[in-house]
Amino acid sequence: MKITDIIKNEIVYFDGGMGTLLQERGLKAGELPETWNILHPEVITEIHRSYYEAGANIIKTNTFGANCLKFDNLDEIITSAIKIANKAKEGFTNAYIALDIGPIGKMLKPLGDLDFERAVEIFAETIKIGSALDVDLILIETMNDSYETKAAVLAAKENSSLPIFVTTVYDENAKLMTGADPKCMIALLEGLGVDAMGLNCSLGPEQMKHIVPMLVEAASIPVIVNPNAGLPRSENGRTVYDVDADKFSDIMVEIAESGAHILGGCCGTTPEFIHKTIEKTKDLKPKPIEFKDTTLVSSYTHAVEIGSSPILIGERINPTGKSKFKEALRQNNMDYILNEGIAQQEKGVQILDVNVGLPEIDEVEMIRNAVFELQSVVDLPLQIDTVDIAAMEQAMRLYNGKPLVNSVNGKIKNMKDVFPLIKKYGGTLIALTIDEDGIPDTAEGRFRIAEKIIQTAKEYGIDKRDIIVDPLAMTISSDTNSANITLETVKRLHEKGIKTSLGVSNISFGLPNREFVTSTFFAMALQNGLNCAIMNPYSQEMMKVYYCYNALTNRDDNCARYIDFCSTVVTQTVSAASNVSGKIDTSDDEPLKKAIIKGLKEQAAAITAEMLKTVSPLDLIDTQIIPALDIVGKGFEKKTVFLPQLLMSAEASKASFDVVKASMISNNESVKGRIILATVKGDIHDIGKNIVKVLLENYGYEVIDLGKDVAPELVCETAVEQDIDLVGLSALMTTTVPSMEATIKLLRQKRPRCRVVVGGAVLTQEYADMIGADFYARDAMETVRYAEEFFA
Amino acid sequence: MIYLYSLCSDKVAISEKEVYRYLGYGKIYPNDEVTALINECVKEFNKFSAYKACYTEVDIDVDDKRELVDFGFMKVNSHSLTLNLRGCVSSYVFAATTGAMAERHIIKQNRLSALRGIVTDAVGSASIEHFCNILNKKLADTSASNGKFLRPRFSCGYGDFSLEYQPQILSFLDSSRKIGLSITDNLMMTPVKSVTAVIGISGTPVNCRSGCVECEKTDCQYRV
Repeated sequence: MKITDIIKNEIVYFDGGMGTLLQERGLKAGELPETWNILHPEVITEIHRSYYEAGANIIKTNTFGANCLKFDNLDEIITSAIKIANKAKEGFTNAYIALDIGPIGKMLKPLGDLDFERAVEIFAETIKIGSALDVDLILIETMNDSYETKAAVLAAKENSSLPIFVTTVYDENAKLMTGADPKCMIALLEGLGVDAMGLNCSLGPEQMKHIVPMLVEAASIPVIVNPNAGLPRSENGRTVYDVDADKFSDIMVEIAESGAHILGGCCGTTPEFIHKTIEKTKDLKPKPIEFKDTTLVSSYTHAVEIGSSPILIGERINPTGKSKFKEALRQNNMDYILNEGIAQQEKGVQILDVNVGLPEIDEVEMIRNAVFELQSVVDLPLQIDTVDIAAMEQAMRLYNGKPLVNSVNGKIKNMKDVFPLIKKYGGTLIALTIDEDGIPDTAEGRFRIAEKIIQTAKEYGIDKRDIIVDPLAMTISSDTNSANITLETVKRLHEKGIKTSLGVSNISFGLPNREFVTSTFFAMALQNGLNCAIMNPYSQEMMKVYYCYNALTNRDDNCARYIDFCSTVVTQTVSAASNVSGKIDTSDDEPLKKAIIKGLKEQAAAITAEMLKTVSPLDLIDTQIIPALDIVGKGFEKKTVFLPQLLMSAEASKASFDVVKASMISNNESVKGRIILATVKGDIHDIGKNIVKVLLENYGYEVIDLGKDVAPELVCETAVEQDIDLVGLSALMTTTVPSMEATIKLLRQKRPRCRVVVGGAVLTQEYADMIGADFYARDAMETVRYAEEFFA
Repeated sequence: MIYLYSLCSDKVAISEKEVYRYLGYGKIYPNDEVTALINECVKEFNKFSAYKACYTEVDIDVDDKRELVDFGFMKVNSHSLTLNLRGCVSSYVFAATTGAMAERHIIKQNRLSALRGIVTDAVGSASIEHFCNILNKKLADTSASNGKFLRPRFSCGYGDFSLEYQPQILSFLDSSRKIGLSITDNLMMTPVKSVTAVIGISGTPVNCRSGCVECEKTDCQYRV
């Protein structure tokens, strides 16, 4: 019988710890256990056999750390491990072998320097070797990062057809080290189509007990529980784990009763632990595994369930009709996108729509960047919004979680393109009720397309729970019956248990005071059962409807969220009034200068707006902003002003500049010069570079920020393409100074006229001279001064 | 055997003075706006930090003449480390971190505002140092009860104790698995707010100079 069938109906047992047993047999601390596959195969065989003898069904090959970063002889290590396991299995029935895959031991970007695709390659190498030999399943275990887990599962799916089991490491608060909770992992792993999932390592069974129900109650696949024998501690110079086999097996009974189907052990557990667990649980009838009809999408920290309460999807990361955003995209300016993401999160959306399609840009590259950057700073699930299938695939692949994907439609070709991506990467789809014949003008017609899409998805193995139908809101300005048709479709879909979403803003296109119409339509759609709305969270009318609807439909305990919302509305009114009544003290001679020197951002902006009524923009810059910056800058150089104050003033002056810019009729702001900034290859710490950027921008320079860990080639290409004559490079570690040198050398070849200024914690004048830099800047102000001289 | 030690953020009271120092203030107090910002950043940081350490005790052999310290799992050639460990027969080896969520928080702050970025970064530095002090104290108490004394902790990068030893320490402690601490190809620890160190154990107390006084980098901006 196949292992995937057995685990659905019976309790199945994994083996326990390997490392602890090897240490007892002489493995030294720091020695790699996998080397024993070659040095002492008989010891590994004996341990595997002892687990089979104890009653375990599945043993894990001794390949936990077997990857190409640690072993030059990877093939030999894995091949011998699997040979050993098969030898140990001889004579046992119901005995299976899991190819054991542990974490790589390096952190993925943005936390570390390991690229996601490189991680996939590393896992793939191990999996290719192992799955070609005689094993029954792949166990990806002890994962403490959701992103690395995804890389491993993708590598397994792309290089083998074996069943995939996954266990991750939770802490006592039921979170992975990088933040994911159980539901989030369920969304990710069920989306990827793994066969069983659960938890192992770090905790003992007692501390795992409360996490097991969280998994069982939300998962539709069997749950694995492989605890440690508690925590190690020293007792009279001996190391002992604080849970013995009796206690361990007692708690494992409770864990089995709460619904876990696959039981075993991790660090500190021995064949005795497994044997006693089996003795006490073998007659238990496992809880049946129920399919959960819940629609989940997830980020790297949490899952959002679509169904019970309305979900807001922020629509603002979309260039349609936004000239500033288009400009930002053309310039690859990610700050704009990040700020939109953060601002919408603060307004209360639960999901962010990401659309970066413009005809003149490479959408594949742009959406990869946008997804990577957004998921570095925003913990909301993303909705990948594109019609470009290649861009859709790349974004889904790189995404750290289970995305919402916008969209598929009823056209055969489109479904053929999109469904395989959902099957491979996991995701919940927005399905538009349009097909080869266009958009039906009846609810019946749209409903039929929805059914067709759901039926076709099923043929690809995608369940209805992962399809959210968008019956298309179209403006009432061209067809006054269009809202009726859409609402009727929402209602019918809702009655059939099909989830729905609408891009609500379209309904008012072409009309005056669009918010009035859109928000009323939103309320009507919610009343008809709408589950999600792609909407503008900056619209108070829309947010009003959202909070009122929740309060009125018993979805807001004590109306608490509504009351919270109202408090922000009140504040806004009051603060607007205070501006009007002129509470800002402008009687002072130089109020703006003072606000900037003190670093008061809001005040600086407000005073600027007030002063612009009487002073010309250029005068304001010359008499207030620049002199204030100079005072602070000089103070910093004399060490009477420190870095935080310098940056506070910089932020205040930026706030002031923004108001000035907005007031200028033509946007012909004078740029003093254009400068590339980058933290060099291998260096992932870019605080210093960011400080320099803020100050340079303050002084009127345009900064092309290439970010951190930047290859020399990219610096040179950008300098050549954008005709740049000054480059600033930063490095934090002595170990990355060689990258700096390589970048300078390449620049000398490709762009000889370009000057290079270097800085960073470890840099000194001597280093700078040694690597051939043109200027060494001790701090951010020195870079500004150099730029001023350079562009003078 | 590698032992684990962890504390939640409310058990690690971050010293504001230390934060000032990391921000380059030396002995000067920042103004009210800055102190308010620091307080806010500390509060925010505490929502994300989860302190973890792994440590063990190893026998060591200190060869004064060759300036070589043998830890069993690595042999370190270093004048300053030999000086620090002279007379010790064993040593603690530890790795500690503020955790991946704190790291992500720093990255986020830094991405959004250079100002909040530097302040949060300084908070992170102060916090991990403080956590190490707490762990250090715990180890000192354990040793004291056995009649042993600890030397000041010594990290790769101090004096001529090369950063090149960092991967060996982390690998020996299995820190990636135990506490989620790994290292990049360029020897940068991730999470960045992490510390590894050795702490010599000896039978006699030695008045060892430590901290800034001992450091040879006299032009350091953080020197107190």
